[in-house]
Amino acid sequence: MHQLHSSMGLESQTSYSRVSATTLMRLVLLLFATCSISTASVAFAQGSGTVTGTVTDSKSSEPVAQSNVTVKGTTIGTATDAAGRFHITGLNGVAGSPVTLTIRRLGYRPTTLTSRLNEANLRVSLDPTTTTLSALVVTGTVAPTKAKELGNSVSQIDAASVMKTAPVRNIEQLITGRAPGALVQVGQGGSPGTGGRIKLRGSVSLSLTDQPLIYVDGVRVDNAVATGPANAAFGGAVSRLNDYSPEDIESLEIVKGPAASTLYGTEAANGVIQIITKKGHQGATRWSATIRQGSTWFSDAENRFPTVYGLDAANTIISRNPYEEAVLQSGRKPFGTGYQQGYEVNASGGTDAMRFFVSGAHNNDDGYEPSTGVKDYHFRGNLQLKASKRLDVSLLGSYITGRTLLPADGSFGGSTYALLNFRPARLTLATKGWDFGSPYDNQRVWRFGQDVNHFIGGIQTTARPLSWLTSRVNVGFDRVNELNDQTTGRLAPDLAAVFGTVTASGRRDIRTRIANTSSADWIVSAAGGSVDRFKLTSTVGAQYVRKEFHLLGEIGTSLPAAGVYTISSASIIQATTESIEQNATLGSFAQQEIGWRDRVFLTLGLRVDNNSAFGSNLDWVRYPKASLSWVLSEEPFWRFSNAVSAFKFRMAYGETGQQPTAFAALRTYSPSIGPGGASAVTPNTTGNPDLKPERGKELEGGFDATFGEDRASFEFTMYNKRTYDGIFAASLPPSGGFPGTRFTNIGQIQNRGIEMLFRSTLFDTRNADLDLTVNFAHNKSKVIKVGNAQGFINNGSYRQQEGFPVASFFNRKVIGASFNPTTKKAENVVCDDGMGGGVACANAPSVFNGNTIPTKFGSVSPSLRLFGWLQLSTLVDFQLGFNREDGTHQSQCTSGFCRENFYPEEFDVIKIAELQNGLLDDFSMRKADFYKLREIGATATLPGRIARLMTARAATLTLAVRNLHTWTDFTGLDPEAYYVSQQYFPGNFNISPPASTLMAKINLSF
Amino acid sequence: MSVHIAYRRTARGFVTLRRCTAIVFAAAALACSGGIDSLLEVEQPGTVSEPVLLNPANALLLVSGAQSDLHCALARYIVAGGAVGEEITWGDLNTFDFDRRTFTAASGAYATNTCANGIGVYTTLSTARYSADHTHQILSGFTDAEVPNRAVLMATMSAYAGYSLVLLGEAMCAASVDVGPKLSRAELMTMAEQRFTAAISEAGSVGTAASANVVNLARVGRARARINLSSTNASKAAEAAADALLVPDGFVWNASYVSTTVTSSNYVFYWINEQQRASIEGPFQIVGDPRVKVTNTALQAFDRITPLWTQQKYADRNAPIPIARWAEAQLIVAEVQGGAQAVSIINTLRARASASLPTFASSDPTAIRNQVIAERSRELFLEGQHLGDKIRFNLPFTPAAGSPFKQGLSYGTMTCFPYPDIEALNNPNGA
Repeated sequence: MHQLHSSMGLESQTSYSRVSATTLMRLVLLLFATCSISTASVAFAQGSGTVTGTVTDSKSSEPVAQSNVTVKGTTIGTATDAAGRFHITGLNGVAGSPVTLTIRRLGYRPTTLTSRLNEANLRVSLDPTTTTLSALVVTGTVAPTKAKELGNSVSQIDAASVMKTAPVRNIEQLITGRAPGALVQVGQGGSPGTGGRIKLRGSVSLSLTDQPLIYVDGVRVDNAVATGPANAAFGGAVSRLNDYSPEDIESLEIVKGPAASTLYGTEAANGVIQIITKKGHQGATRWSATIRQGSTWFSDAENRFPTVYGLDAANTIISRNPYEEAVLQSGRKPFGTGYQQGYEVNASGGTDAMRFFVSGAHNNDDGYEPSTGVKDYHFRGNLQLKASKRLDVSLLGSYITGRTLLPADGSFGGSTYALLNFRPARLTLATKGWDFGSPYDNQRVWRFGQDVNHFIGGIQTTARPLSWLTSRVNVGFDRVNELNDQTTGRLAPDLAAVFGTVTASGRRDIRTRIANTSSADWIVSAAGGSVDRFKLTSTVGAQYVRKEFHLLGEIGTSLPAAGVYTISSASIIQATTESIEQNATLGSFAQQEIGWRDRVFLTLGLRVDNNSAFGSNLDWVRYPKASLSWVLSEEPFWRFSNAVSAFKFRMAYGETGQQPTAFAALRTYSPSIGPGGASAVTPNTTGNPDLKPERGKELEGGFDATFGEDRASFEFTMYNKRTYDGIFAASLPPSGGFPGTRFTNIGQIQNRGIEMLFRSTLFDTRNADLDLTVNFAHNKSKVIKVGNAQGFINNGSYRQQEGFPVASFFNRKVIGASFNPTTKKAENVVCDDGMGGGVACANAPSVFNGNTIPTKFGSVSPSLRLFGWLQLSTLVDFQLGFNREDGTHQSQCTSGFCRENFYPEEFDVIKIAELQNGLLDDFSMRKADFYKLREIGATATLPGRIARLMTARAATLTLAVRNLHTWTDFTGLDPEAYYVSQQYFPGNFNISPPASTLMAKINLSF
Repeated sequence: MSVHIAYRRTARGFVTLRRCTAIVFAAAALACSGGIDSLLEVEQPGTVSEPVLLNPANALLLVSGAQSDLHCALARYIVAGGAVGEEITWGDLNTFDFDRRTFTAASGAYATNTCANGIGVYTTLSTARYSADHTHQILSGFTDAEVPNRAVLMATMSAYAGYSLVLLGEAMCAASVDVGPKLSRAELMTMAEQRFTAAISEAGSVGTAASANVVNLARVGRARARINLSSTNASKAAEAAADALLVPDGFVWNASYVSTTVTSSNYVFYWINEQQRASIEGPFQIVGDPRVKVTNTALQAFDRITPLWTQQKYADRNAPIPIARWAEAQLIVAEVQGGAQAVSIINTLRARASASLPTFASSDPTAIRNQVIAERSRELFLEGQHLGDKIRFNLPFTPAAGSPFKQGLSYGTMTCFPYPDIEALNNPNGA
């Protein structure tokens, strides 16, 4: 039922496509029609009253942009502009009559005050606060919810505030160290444009993706990571999450737990990242511009590449430092200082009936490797229309286009690869010791690039036909069009002599990836009751998401001449590939929220989903949810108000899912080429008609507390998440005829942990105040069941073994050996038998050898504000409790040019025994814990006269540095560096480490 | 009073909410009536579902598929087995375990690589075996009226399954079939023999040129299986020779290739000549024997350190590779019968290859046997026979285990591909 059945035949597939598109269109029309029916009869007369004012920070007197200003008792409201100004119109009443306004802003204490109708210069001062109970959270329901009403934790990041001082260039950097429980694994951060993985509360799947869903203003968007041209077999390095300019973003909400169940259902097991962009404000058009200049470099490069060894013709040991050798041979440093620049301008304004925000940005960032960099253009626009008093329409559109050039890491080439694979024994060959060419040669040869065009469009209508009834229809479309290419043109003779005739003849490999995501949801919410007693909010909704991935690839070799590199010019076409994958999810849900006296909030919800990838033997899947929030500090019996001014207890339970990949349920054959070019087929996937989605069941509990007079706040969450029916890509025994793997519901995984967030104002004087933010998370994962008799599933160096953390290292380990100085060999080698004893290594079992995923992570971030105009901030983040193989060192030693090969007597005999006996996993296993001085920033608010010199009303200047220092015992280039495509076994092998960057940024408000 | 109003509002709210709920579920019901299924339907334009293949009109599609699976597997095995068996030496920066003979049961490449992703042995041959057996099974469910030439097609599939099993038996230390128990090399050869016998039976009575060709293919295959079995069952040698003697002069059955994609290409040419990822190994760097056509390019292979000797036996990516031929059958006869008959066959084959090759003369049984072995290595150069010969004739592997390998570490002791972990750990009968 869910998928195309083969009996229908291939010819009928096109018509299915039409049916689906038609049906989708009908559904959308139905939703709009219903919405229109509910609003068509609404007509009213707007008033002419206004209130105009300015919102500022009570400490610094700086304007507070994007504050939410609402007129109490109405739905009328607006947001402040960059100058903190707001202008509310459409109010009824006579001039001078009282108007009660509520002003909210993340990071500030909400303020309610009474003004007068037609007030023209209202001054509102907001107090910074450490508590977030009063913040508004966009959880996916019709209207934002107060944080105090939520029974689950949702991390909020005030992007607009962070961007003032931090050296942040993308969303990933915005999240790093700022959301407890969100583990950012940077990966291939060595060049601009790259992006890593984000894990929320650990890995919940044995085989499916671990990446959270991404929504931009309610529109579901592509969340692919590791896109771009593959580095050898290691996948790409670009994350779609980083397509969004952080300058355009108001805030991020990271939904980690049960909150995702009702609203996002199947697919939401990894959590959700909500990107909320800046919106327009009511009032005169305001312009803002940001100019960024900076540089990037490979920190301490000259001391990070180990000296390597070999034998010369006379069998004498020789050594070279590859970095020094590169400089010596080519007369230039392998890495440069990349120039980085960015320009952003936005405008916002509008009337009561129409508000807009538009922005454009251009970035041109070079990497430290001269052949890398990113050049892109961003355009974004939001339009909010108040069609009537009871109907709002929001339109959003965003477009990014650009090209990213990446380093050729892995086994390809590139500067890092070249330096790590220099062999002194080959100095006399044409390659002068390099595996292929020198770093400089490699920079001339390889081009790894991604061109991207990314469009997002969405329309949201919110209708309030009755004061207590709201209907929201949200339709969005996201289209990503990537052209990924690896291109090596026909080489000049000098390079051909070094790289060989195959490489010299040229090669072009292009992969086009088109990802279309269409989403539509309709939510109806009815609110009733009284805040004083019971407040009831009932919500029902339906959601439809359809994804299509279209991949095209072509490889051509033997290009005719230098500078000619199209596929059609290649004399040999190596391969042409095309694949199309589609997936559709349809769900509906109902949710009941019950508030009692505005301090106890109970939410119950149920969602049902069906998905095109479910097996034919599976029907609808149900995801229930329940949560409780109790603001104890508002109870009459609360006796600790002096010490604990606010305290909320919360608890939530929810179930989510994760669908299998498309066609995982079907037995299929791939087309192939038979004898004489005839059509043929070959076994492809064996299929599993019983396949179900993974089910995540999670219980979390915790509290949010504010101490003293908002001087400190503490959020604490404990969670216990278990994945049932875990889908595992079980390797098939090849003798069965079908290669590869088969998705099977066999696993169970548990993730337990805690998350803590502490914010405090350590001191607060007239001229200085010091804030401190600390967050910490501890995640303990465990494989409960893998579904086979032996209790584990091997996957190379790591293993999913019952009772052990997800993707643990399991290797043979030497525990005893003696060194023979004559033979320079380790002898009497004994391995760990896994039971506390020793055994001959040939018979030794693989034993637990550490986590592949950090178990403890967090950050410390002090921020000092001086004299009301200068702010200094720092972020140190850390990831602890995991190991990583130093694959580069392993490769050097197995290829015979590391120091251990020549001076084994200097090293631990255990390691030498492992190297000499091929037990390479433990030989190269390293503790990878690290602390990183991630950010240092200083922002000064420039005096008004200087701003005016630039024709601006206000100006700020920021100087910031990123990735300044790493404290670690890891022996490779960087413990954070790994190939992002490797979800469970993050290999550290010939990979460019994260870059250090310096940024100077000036922001002007006009 | 306000509470009362609030509750009245709430009640009214729930009435409307119920209406809205009804609308939502009505929409859902509407969708159900012909909508939900189509909303969840997706296209699958890149693959073929199995039921589509259970149609007599697609019989040739399946047969072509099974043939191309073996053709691909054979070419990959020639490269991998050639590296182990010293016909070629590795010139790539990866997977030099083949050449170094250090692969283990846990090694991925030989065990899991498919025709789509590199050089493998076990999965490619197992897929070829399954495709042939599965196609045979499907064909047996059709009628002669539904599928023209069905008997010959079934015989072809039996023979192809047999060859897959022969190659598994020669390459692997042990293997499984159809997720069955771990089988020894001899057991695999016995299964192959049964498939060839079935092929001879299925095609034997048809009486066409095509069926005769398939019978000869099966005879050479059965002779090859039986000569392998002769080390544990002496009577099999004579049976092998009997099969081989029935193969007519000039018979050849080729694995065909087309250069459209790498997968469909002659991978021996692609890997050695086009990609320069391997070079001809020392013992075959021979000048003057047209059966071992090689060229010293005076270049380095892709790894930039291995002197590149390329093969010229296969001229391009379209060049066919013999699966079975008369010369192989003759050498089986020579091996079994020895003596003057063997010398005669050796000289016949030499003369056919080139008039300039010297005549062999000897009456020493050991010398004759050694010459038969040498002739096999040259006549059947890069045809997927040499590794099996080294194991069957117990020939030394050089350089010896422990000798330093050019890309680091030392030569290992592996000579056949071990029963892989991927089978042992995932096959409930494979322990």
